[in-house]
Amino acid sequence: MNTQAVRSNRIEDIAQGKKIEAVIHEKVLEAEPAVEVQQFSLWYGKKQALHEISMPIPRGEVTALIGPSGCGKSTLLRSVNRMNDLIDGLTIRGDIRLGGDSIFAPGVDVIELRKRMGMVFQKPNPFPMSIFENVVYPLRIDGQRDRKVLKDVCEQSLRGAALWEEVRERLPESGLGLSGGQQQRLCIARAIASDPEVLLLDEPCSALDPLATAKIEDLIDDLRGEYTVLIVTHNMQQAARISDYTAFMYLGRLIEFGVTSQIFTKPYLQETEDYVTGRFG
Amino acid sequence: MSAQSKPSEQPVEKTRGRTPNRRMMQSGYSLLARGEPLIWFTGGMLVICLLMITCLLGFILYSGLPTFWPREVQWVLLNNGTQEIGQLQTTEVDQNAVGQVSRYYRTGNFDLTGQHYRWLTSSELDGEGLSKPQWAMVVERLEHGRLYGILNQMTIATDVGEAPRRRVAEAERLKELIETIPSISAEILPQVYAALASSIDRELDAANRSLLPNLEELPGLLQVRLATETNWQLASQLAGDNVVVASRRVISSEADVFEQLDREVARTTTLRHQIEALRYQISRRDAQLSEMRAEVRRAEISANQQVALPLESAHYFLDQLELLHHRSQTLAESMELLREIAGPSDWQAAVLQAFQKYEAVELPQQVSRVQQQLVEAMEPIQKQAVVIRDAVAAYHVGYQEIVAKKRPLEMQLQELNALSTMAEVDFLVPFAPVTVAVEDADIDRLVSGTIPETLRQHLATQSILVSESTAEVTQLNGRLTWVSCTDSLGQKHVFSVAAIEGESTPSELGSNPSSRATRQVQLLQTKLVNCREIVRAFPANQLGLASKVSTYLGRWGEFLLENPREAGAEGGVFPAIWGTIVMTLIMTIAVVPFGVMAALYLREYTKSGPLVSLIRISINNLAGVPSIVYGVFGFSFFCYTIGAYVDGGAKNAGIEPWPSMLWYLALGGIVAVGTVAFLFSFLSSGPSHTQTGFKRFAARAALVLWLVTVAAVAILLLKSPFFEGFYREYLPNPTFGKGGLLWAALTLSLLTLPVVIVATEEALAAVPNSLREGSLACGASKWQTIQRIILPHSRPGILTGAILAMARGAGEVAPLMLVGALASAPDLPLDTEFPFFHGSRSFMHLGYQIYTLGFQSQNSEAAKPMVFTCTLLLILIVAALNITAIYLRSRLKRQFQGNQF
Repeated sequence: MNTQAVRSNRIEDIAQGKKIEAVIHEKVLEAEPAVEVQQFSLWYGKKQALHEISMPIPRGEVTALIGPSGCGKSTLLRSVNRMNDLIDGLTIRGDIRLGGDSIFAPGVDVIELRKRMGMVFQKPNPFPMSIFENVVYPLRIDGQRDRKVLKDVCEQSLRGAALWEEVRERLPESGLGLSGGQQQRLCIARAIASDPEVLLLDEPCSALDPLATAKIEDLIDDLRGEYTVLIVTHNMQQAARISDYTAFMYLGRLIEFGVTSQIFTKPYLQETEDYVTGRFG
Repeated sequence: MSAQSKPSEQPVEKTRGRTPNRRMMQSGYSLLARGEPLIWFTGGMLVICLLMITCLLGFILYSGLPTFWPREVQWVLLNNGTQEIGQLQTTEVDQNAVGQVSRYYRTGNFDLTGQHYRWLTSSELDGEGLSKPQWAMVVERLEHGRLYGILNQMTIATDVGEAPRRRVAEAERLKELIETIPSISAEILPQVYAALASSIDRELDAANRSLLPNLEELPGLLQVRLATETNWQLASQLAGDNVVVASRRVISSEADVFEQLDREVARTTTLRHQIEALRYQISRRDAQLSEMRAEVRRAEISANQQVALPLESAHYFLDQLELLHHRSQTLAESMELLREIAGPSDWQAAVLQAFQKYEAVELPQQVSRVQQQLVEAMEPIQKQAVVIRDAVAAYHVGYQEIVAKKRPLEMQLQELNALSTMAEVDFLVPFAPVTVAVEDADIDRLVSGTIPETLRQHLATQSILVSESTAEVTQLNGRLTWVSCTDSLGQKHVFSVAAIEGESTPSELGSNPSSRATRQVQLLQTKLVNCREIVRAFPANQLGLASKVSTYLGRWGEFLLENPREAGAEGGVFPAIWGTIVMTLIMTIAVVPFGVMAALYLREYTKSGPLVSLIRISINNLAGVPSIVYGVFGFSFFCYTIGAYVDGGAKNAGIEPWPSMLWYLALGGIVAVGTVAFLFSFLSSGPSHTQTGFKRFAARAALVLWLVTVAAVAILLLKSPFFEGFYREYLPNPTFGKGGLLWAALTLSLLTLPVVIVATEEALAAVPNSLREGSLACGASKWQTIQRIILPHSRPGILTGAILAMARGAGEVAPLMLVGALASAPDLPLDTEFPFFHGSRSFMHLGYQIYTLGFQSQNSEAAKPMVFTCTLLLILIVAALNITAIYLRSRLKRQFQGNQF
């Protein structure tokens, strides 16, 4: 273990367009990966957004992606459940594996893939329907009609999203009538309703007030162990509070990836330290 | 600016660190900065817009609402001695002459004067010549528009039974006999006639007394007038042949007459409705007949088809038989020849033997074989002949049945017709140059029964040449003198002559001071109207507010619920209302699914590129194409191509069908192209990041091939040699091959398609992307996302598109002229008659009604008030349709909007 962060010239190297090597801590490599990103590059048209990113995402843990705006965190997150497919002129190289299987293999059914991953977006996006229908939407599209099953799943998911007590009396009301924090938890409940393997959270608290944020953070804490959570956040404290692992990205490159406590206290790289302490970025 | 006006403040400003320049800018721009001029400007524009709309609506309301209000009837005396009667429509200040006022009268009486309206200037009007006769009536008739006149008298014909009729017949025989015997002197004749008349009168009296219970229902001032010879003929003419009429009751007090008239109009109206219902039933029977004829025709067509091949072979076998027969004849001749040219020899014997054998054995065999084949070939022909015979026989049976069913209906119709013509009423109406000066002596002569020379000359100017012998003058109530005369053509005219004698002038007729030397005789024509011709009659000048309102509402009711009369100028517009609503709804049903599908594809599936932009621009441009262009297209495409094709197959639509071999080849080609297109679309599918050059090529190729396939399928259908139409038995009368409701609705749906597509696209674009992503992230497929999230969310916007389309479609007239709207089409396109919806029927449309009334009718002045009421109605219908849709939309919106705040 280094006691002093090493100053490498990675920032300048990136600026000069040189290839750089990501620093990945041994502890990360030891953990059992749920999702593996392998040499993954992505272009929006001619513009390269991700540069050969390789990182394992440990199963059952919370992994945070941090980095300045435009560094490709969200792009990486959206690549995991192939939400980027919707964008025109997208090119990829490399691979992402879920449970050892490539998600870009020709035979993969994108819809099945997405059903194995729940996703929560920056802004709460409940559907314009009742709270109940919002939660059971993933089951509805699977053709589930058994009222009992739907009810059970709804209650479980809402309990899982720590929303049950607040909305149990108003399930038939519109999901749009909830407060922002409740809406976001509703989206989380929807995301976990189909019992996914991986939860992808794209800055889930950025549109919320501190109280609501605290609730969501508690919730993420509760979800640890049950789900593999990948969270994009701009909030250093949040990353430090809730994540087990933290990856620091910069300009489409992975810079450093390690156990959260280490990243925030004794990172290997000077750049990482600069960023987490707010001296840069 | 204020800095300049208050220079003393400048130093203070400077000490505060503000330059005067800056302050000037502030005060100068503060107005703009606060935005007030813009508020005023924009607000002013809004006010102008609202004002224009309010003016439009107000004008239509102002012009349309009073149409049915019963205005008072004025009797106008003009300076030149003529008179007019009518309802005052408007008054305008004359621009050419100072102080002059022009009055616009609806004068009606079109059958007498040849005009419905007349402008009268104040210089034409006699100062005191305006009166409002108490019993001036407004009479709405079935034909010739309105009649304005003063109620005069009414006669009702009743059947008095056998005895008077016999007596009349006897009297006529006697009269004939007396006239043929020349030795009876002319002086005795009147006495004989009088005796005959009084004898008939006695019989009629007796008959009338037997009818007393009925007669006593009539009002007090009733006179039972006995039928003189003239009246007799008139009455029996009126009554038709079935009901023999022997008595006419004359009612004389105006109030009584009016009461009786009201009752009679109610009665004949009921009868008229019954007659209409009967006519409809009879027309249904006729339709059944034509349907049965079509059945026979259908059997014929199918028989002809089935017989074609057997007929050909039968002809072939007949030819064969002929050949064999011919051969048997030539055989005998040849044998004869052979015997002649060659002596008996071996070869001759052999040939002859062979010939004989052939004649005896082979030829009969051949003949019987061909005969057998002919019989076989004839079998299906005979079978079809039997089929046709049966069909014709069935038609005859059905024909007899229907005719038998029709007969009682027709008899009932005749009876009703007779019943409804039993009463007539006459009105005093102005008679063009009204005043004739006659000597006192002339008046005496008039009363005594001859027509004075002055009057005769006057009548001659009216092309009524009166023959003296038939003139008959009767004095009634001491003031009106009746002149009934027959002109040289045998046509009967009845005039009422009012002697104007200073103080004894009947006030309600208006008056001219009479000169001493001559008496002014005012000629009033009496206009005889049969009560069945009257739709509504009311004394406009003595209606109370309540009865005015009830008349007004009654006319609105008629307007909304009845069929039009007189080319739409009178009566109702119910078929037009119904046609407008049905057509608009069908158009909406047709256009919305198409438009929504197209918009969904454009917005959700296509990737933006030059092609999509081109399509979008084209769609937007389509919205700007003049609507008549759509009409021409609909006319030539829907009516004359698709419609004719549906009626009678390709040939009927003027398309040369392909021979069947070529058609099958083309079918095979299309299947191949479709398969390739399918293959290409399959190959091109997949997420965009895996897109390669080949995939892009495949996607484009697939699109082109799909287009080719669809077009080719359409061409293949049109070129089919196998389809011969669904309605060929009605040809050459087109069923769908002409304008009709269905084609009109489809043409208008083409017209409104861009509106729906654009509105739907906007609605789809307004669905937040986060919802799409959320749904996709849940593992929903694209179609599930569209179905469960996007469509429900954009439904209000789609409904907005539908509303716009409806509003545009309901108001469109130009295309309808070409594709099926008619000025009069009483058959409704949607009714209670199986199969309820008749897409091939022509229909009426309010917009078209407005056009025809305003510009096409012979009598557009009379129709002008109706134009505004139709406009008002059209606006109301469009508003009602829109309000329904808006209500639906707001309900949908509520569904999707939580009470977020």
